[in-house]
Amino acid sequence: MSLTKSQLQQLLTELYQSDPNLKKQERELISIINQISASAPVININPAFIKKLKNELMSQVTVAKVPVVNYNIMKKLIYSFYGAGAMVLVLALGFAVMNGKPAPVVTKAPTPAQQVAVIPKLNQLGEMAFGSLSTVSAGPAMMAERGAVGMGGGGGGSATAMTSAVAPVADAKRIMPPFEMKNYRYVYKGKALELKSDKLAVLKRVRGLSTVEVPDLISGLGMDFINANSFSGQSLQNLTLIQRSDFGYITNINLDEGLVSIYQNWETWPAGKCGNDNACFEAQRVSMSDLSAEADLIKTANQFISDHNIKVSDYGDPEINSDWRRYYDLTTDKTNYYLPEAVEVIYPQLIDGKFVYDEWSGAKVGLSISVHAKYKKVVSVNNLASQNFDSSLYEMETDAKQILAYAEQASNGGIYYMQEDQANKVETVEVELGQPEESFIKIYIYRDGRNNELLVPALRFPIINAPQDVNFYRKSVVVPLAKEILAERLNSVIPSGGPSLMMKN
Amino acid sequence: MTFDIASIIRDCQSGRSDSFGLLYDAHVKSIYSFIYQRTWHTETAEDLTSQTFFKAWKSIGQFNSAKANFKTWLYAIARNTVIDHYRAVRNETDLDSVLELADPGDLDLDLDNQELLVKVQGYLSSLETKQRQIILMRLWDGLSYQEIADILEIKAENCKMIFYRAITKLRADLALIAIYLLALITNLYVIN
Repeated sequence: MSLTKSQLQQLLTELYQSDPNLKKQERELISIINQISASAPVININPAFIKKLKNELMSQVTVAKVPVVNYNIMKKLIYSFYGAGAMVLVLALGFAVMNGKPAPVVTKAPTPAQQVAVIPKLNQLGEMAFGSLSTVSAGPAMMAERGAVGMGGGGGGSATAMTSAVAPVADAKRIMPPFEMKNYRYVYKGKALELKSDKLAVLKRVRGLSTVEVPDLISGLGMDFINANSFSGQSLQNLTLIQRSDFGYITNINLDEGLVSIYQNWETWPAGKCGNDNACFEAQRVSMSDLSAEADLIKTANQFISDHNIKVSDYGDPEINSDWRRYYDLTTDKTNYYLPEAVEVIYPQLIDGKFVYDEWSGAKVGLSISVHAKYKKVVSVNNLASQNFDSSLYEMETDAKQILAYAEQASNGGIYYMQEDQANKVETVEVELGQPEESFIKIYIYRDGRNNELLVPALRFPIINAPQDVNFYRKSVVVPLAKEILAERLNSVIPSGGPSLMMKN
Repeated sequence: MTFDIASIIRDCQSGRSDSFGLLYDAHVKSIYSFIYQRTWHTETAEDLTSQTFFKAWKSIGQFNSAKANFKTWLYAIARNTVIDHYRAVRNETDLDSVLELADPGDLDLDLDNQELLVKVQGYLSSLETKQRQIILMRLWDGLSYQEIADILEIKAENCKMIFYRAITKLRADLALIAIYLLALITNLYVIN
């Protein structure tokens, strides 16, 4: 790293603040600083590595969902988490704001018959109205941080030193069995593919909820120390509502994104009241018997939906995410396994009777409601989003060979292909793919500084013989049919030299 | 382009993987550079960068954006990962004895940079571990004193003082070398 003139000047100024006499040795100081700066090694990051790691990360991240919270760390953090005073409003207000009027009542999950009829609000646009579907356009250039960045001196940053949250990371008790490296080779075992449509509608979720008159809202807050209405062109972006009664919630309404998240107001839940009492924390730990009654969990989630008028007509019948049980069964050290305190109930998203899948895990995506296993109460609601879409026709791939090529190879994203040599023997496991079904795949493309959510027609290949390995996370292989996206995915696959090329520069 | 970091982290904590992708995009290059500058080996740097981001995801539920800065939190994870790496390969158990910098004697080093590393070790060999850490974080990674302080869990003022002492130490070393060379030249002149 070579310093700019202003960076060098900044460093010198700081040194002179510590010892003004140093100014006499300025030339020597400049020479020392420049020598050290210039001695940094030249760094050439392999772009393939950046992309490969992101693919790997996104697939794992999608599977992992909400990370398991360590009790001891949570205990330390809780006092600082909700320190800021906030409005105490009733939860129901959130839903009134979300819909722009008192919420319409749809209280139960749709039956299978309803699923076929579910079509969200679509706004038909011309062909290719969203422009290029390429997902590799330039990402965010930089992230705004609270702290000072670069050579900006000692300013900014959080005044408090970090909590001990980082330290336990390296030594934390494993919640999963060790990661075993294997290669997975997908082989299609179904009939010949029939691809009828060369153009299909791609859907783009329309962000934003009804606008709220900011002056009206602010005038209701009774602030006499500033006229917050004096800023022109204001709009409301986020609204956070806190419920402080027992088993309370925090509701975050992102009006810009048209997204509502609800999560527990931890300090009002039993574990949040334990303070430094370890025995109290231990008493909150979930046991296997708490997790046994899955039907009760769905009942609790349905009741919550009904109590709060959450609109679920765009979602299918609820399903339990039992991933934790699979990892639990595979782990050898069951006594030290952290059982999840909450189990996720998914209401899968439906578009015209077709399920929507996540690209990297091949799992259904939809409204996620987590239910506390011990208290049988909802802990969080995620992915509750406005279901208005723009629709535009795009060219689809009709060459079955291309689709199968991606299903069999590119579905790996290249990321699990491990280097294989004499010393490092990596087992390759064959995974069979069955006859595909029509579906949608959820893809994000970054445009104009924001992530846009697209639902793209896809074929979903079920996995017939899922390996019982810890690191095998896939539920199915989902292939986007949009020609541009598929071509891009195929171009990023492993070159024909074989797996060993992937880990090299 | 700017983002509301707190809301991105909230999204991550509620399981939105695309939001974690944004954090990855924004930081992967600087984290890789940080790790490479301490390992001088491409494959090791790639491996440790991967570990850093996986650890970050697993722990993001515990991250408190009201108290800590995400960037420095991530750097702290990267630094711990590098320390763990050296503790394993050099069989060192004392955290302070881990120098967090490749040694010319290490087996895995990118050949192109070996000569440069010898030079760097030469400059910095007289410094204490903490001085060396702060010098590198400030001059190579471009981190502010506050950021370094957050990562090392010390006060920013201490950090600034350690940097000052390190630079004056290097300057004194340089002066000593100059005196020694002068004495050598003078002696040679007298002998002749």
